[in-house]
Amino acid sequence: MKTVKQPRVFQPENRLQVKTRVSDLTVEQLMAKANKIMAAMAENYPKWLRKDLEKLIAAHEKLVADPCDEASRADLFRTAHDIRGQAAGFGYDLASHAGGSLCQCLRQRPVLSAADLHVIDAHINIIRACLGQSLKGDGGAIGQELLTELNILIERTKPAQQSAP
Amino acid sequence: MSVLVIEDSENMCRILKRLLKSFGFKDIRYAANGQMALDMLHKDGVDLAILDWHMEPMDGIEFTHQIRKKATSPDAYLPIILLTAFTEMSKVKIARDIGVNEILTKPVSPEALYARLTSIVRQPRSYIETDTFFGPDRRRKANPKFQGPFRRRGDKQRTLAMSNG
Repeated sequence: MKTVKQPRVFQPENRLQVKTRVSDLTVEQLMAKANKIMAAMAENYPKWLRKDLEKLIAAHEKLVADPCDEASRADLFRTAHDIRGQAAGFGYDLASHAGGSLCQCLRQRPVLSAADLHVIDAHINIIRACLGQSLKGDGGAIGQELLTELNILIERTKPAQQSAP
Repeated sequence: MSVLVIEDSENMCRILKRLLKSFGFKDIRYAANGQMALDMLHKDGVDLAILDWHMEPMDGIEFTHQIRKKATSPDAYLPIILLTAFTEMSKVKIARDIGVNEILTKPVSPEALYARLTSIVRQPRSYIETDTFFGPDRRRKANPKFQGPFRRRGDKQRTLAMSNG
């Protein structure tokens, strides 16, 4: 008969505490310093976003030529995922939302039809607009209009749910 | 204290590097994916790992799984902070159940990163070893209204201490 090992709960040696040096700065000062660094990076973020946008456009073009191109699909997902994770940190919430929505669309659509490629293009257009028109935060009236159009398009082209047997 | 950043996005590496430096970390190393990180750790240990979920060929979840395998791991107790843009509860549970110490959602803010680092250094989680799990305690919340059942040895002591005032 197999014996069941008793669960063991224990506190391992805290290796990090002995290596941690107490900073001369208070937590508030540390945060102020770090936020200043984030603000400086935010000035450069449009350049990073432009590079990501170029990657999205390139991957989309390849997928238009061959919708089964798995490498381009992976590139598209990875770049959209990066935008989702980074853009909002620098004030581009709408671009971040578009990145997340694109990831979700790709997950839901394992085989890309012409309509799906159009949906991908619509996501790219939102990110392009965020950059070109400096649409920060929720993008204001223009951003919200673009988002509404995108959501309608997503809904219209959504793959049919498979019914339970 | 040495930190290994495991991330395939150049931009995210840049953000983490600058934030960690502003917090006083000097020894910051990089790996582009989980496999590369495992290879590095087999040669030279680090004190802490901060890693992304989505990477190829080995993602953050598989890396954590390999790290918590005591028999073959280069460091089964390595503190791990998982970065993720996936905020769904199902994803959080996957990360928790595989053995990450802390989860940090993207976009990364200085405050959130600092809080996770502080928690790992000052309030490290207990470790649990059972037949099916090895890793940090998965309980994330203390519910003061919890009435039991108290299944752990430590819980019994805690309830006794509580009843004795």
